[in-house]
Amino acid sequence: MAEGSHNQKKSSAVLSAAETEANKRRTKTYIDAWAVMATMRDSADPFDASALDATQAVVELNPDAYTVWNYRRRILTHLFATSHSDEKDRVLLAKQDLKLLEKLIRIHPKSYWLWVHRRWVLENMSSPDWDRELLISQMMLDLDARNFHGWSYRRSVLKSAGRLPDLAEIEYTNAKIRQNFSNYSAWHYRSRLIPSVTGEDFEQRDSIIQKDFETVRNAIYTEPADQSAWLYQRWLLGQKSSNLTVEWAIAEHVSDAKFMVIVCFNAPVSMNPSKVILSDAKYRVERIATKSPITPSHVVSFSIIAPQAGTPLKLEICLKPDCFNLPTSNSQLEEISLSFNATRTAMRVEGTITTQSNAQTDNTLQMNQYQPVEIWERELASIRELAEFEPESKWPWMALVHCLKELGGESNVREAISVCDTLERLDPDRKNYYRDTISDFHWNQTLDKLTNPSTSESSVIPPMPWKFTRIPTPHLLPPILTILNLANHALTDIPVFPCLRELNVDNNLIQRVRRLDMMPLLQRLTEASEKGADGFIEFMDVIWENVSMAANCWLRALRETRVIGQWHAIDPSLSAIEVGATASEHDLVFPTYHQ
Amino acid sequence: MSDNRLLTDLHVSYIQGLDKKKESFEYWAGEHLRLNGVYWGLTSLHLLKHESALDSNEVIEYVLACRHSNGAFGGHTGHDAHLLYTLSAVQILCTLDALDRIDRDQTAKYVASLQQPDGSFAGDEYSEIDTRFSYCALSCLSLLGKLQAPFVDISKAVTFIHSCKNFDGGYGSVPGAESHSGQIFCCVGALAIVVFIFIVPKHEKTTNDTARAPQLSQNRLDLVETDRLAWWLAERQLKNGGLNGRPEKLEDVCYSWWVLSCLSILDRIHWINREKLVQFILNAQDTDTGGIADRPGDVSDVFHTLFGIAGLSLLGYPGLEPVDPRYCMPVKVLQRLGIPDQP
Repeated sequence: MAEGSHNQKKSSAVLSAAETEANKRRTKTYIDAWAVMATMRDSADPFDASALDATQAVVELNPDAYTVWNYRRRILTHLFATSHSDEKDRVLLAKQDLKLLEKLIRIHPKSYWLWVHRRWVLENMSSPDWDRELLISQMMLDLDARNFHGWSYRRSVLKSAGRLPDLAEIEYTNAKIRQNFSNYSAWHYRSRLIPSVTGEDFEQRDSIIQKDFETVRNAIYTEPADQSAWLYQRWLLGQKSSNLTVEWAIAEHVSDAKFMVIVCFNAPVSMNPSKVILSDAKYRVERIATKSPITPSHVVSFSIIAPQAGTPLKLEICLKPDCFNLPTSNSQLEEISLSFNATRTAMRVEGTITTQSNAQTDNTLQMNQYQPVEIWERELASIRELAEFEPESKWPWMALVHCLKELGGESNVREAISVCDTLERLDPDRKNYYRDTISDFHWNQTLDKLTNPSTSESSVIPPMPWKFTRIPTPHLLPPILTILNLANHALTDIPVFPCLRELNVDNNLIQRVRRLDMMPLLQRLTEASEKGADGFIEFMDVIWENVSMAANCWLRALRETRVIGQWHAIDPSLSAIEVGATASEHDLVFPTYHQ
Repeated sequence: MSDNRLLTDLHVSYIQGLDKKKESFEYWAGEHLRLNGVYWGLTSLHLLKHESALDSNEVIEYVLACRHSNGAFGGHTGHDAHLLYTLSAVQILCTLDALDRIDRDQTAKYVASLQQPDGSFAGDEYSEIDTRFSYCALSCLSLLGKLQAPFVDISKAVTFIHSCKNFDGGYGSVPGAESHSGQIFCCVGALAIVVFIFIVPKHEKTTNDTARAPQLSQNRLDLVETDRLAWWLAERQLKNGGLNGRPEKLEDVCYSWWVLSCLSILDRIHWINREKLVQFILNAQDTDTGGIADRPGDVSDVFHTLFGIAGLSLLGYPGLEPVDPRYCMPVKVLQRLGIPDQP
């Protein structure tokens, strides 16, 4: 990169007189060459016969002088159209540039501008020699198998030559991997090539994948410390994919004729509630002064107004594809129907979810299909063997955790947690990663326990010898639960559970609250820190008009004599609370919007 | 070379002295990105809280001298227009609160003209496509307050970026290209930047006028495989505390920015050893000339100086101005522009 000096050792030795002189001369040569070029470029006849040479004098000294390459291209374009319009002359001229570039690329293999010019020259030839260009990319990669310019060039040459990726290309990556297992670039390329070459031929794909498991096993046994093969193995094992569905939906009567509907999806969505279709025209979706945010999130909430107070919620809400804003999904969005069938205005009623399943699986980029359990178990066995052989290497242990996590089950999870402790010891720099991983295992186990028919409305999750450091999936908490006590853990953010009415996060390590508006039913939040007044909370990314239901909890939190810091409001005209002040009941610390 | 503090004054004078090294070949060979250099130097000074160390007017005049008639900027006076330098120009003018010196619409139109049908951005008329340019375009439009139609098709821009996502959760320069921390910063940064905001003033009455009703669409970080990518990024930390750009490569101070800013955006900075990284950056300072190098013992330059300082700011090193990980500019500059804080 010319941006910074890389790999330039500082030398305390003084330059010799000869070296200083040589530098001076080089600088002068460059300045003069630039001046000659610039004069010509800015003159009345920029396409003078010597113009090409003038540009060459500069770029040979400095291949990153993009302005001069631009000028050179204008000269060539002019020549192609005039004195060198004959095919033979054009080719001669083009080949001259290709030769110049080849010389420069060897010295400066990472200069973007050289590759740009090369591509331009080739595009301006009627029959570029793509085979030769492929050889050049090969030469680059033989010199440096990790040079991404070389790989990019290879791919763009194949594309320009109209050659679709094929088995020969896959074989090229094999060759590179055989030369050196530690070739992340080659492994990466395979992850793209294999799906694209095999397409719908799943048998062919599977045969390649299964052979790759063997290659990877060789690689990890030969060099267990090299991460490329381990990361590729994860890709081989695959990822689960699923269509967009609704995990649960509830409606809660909040006041008079109003119900709050909360819908939880299995992936973050961007939804416009005003576009849902109601089966009964007597109900309507509340249009509030500020549109609900279309921030992608797992949970969407909106209000339904019934024809009159006392009417139970009895209708179907249909979510058609046009309510959603998912520009990158390949799948056809299903039509989702939420049925609420309350016989009276119960506080909370769960919706029945039906989906029209006509969608194909969302082929999220670069996922490999999820391998069958036997394959996971087979790989687990070989990884376990390697881990026992090389207990001081972290990569086998990491792969072990990955497999155990996927296979699940109490004893696997227990083992995974204990391996994470080992990893923390082997790799202390990343200890917080391992701690979060352990916390996640505990959270998932907690979720499993809470998701059973006899779950009561409230739950206390006591700290065990471990503490939650984060809550990765608060939206998966069963919606029947309305009160949650998470006191005495190690959370840094207040977790956003969309269905809670009461949340206790006393004695955690809370520094931040985000998206408090995503808990529209929240009436009580306690967050007292034993540490007292040095506690500091940052409020971030909150849509204030949607937290009016949680007003009580704010005042409660504020009354805990906390130092309230940085106020990040959506509306910058809101005045910040003075640091150290506590709000009284008469201070409105959030705007009043009509409901 | 073990230092345990930031040599602020030395770095300030290093930056002030940059334009005076006219006898070196590198000075002239680096001319084509002088505007980038000014952005790197100026932002360093602002993060070091030495905002007046460079003459603002001189800087502004220099930036304007790099402007082309189509609203774009070149790397230096007499150099051709390119998106890379257009971003730096806009960043500098924002930092110096001089955005009114240019025609924002015109510059935005230049940026918009570089968007391709597939949502990607070219760097200039020679159509080099790279997610670096997606970042430059979206960041630039955001700073200009023009991150919307007709200037840009955000949906397509996002789709293109998403198509560059790889098996490891990272991103490359174009679809199919290997994950590289610099490109990952460009993609994650861009996905964090795409925000539409129309703010309703306080106490505005209820209205059914949906055209005026504020819409809030935050970023598209939902498209990022957060844990997977953050782990890959955390694995960039080597035993010496420095970060590399991709597997099996050397540590380099500039990755203290490219990697760290992503970790910050993804809220996973705690997954690396912060103290060790701070020490690594401090050890890469040049205690004679000032400035920060790519690694301890090497020659310093203004590029690594900025990214070392910005990295230290993200790590909470005392005495530095908070930096926004999406824009690599002081947070207070973005607040002044009305750009919402990163969530």
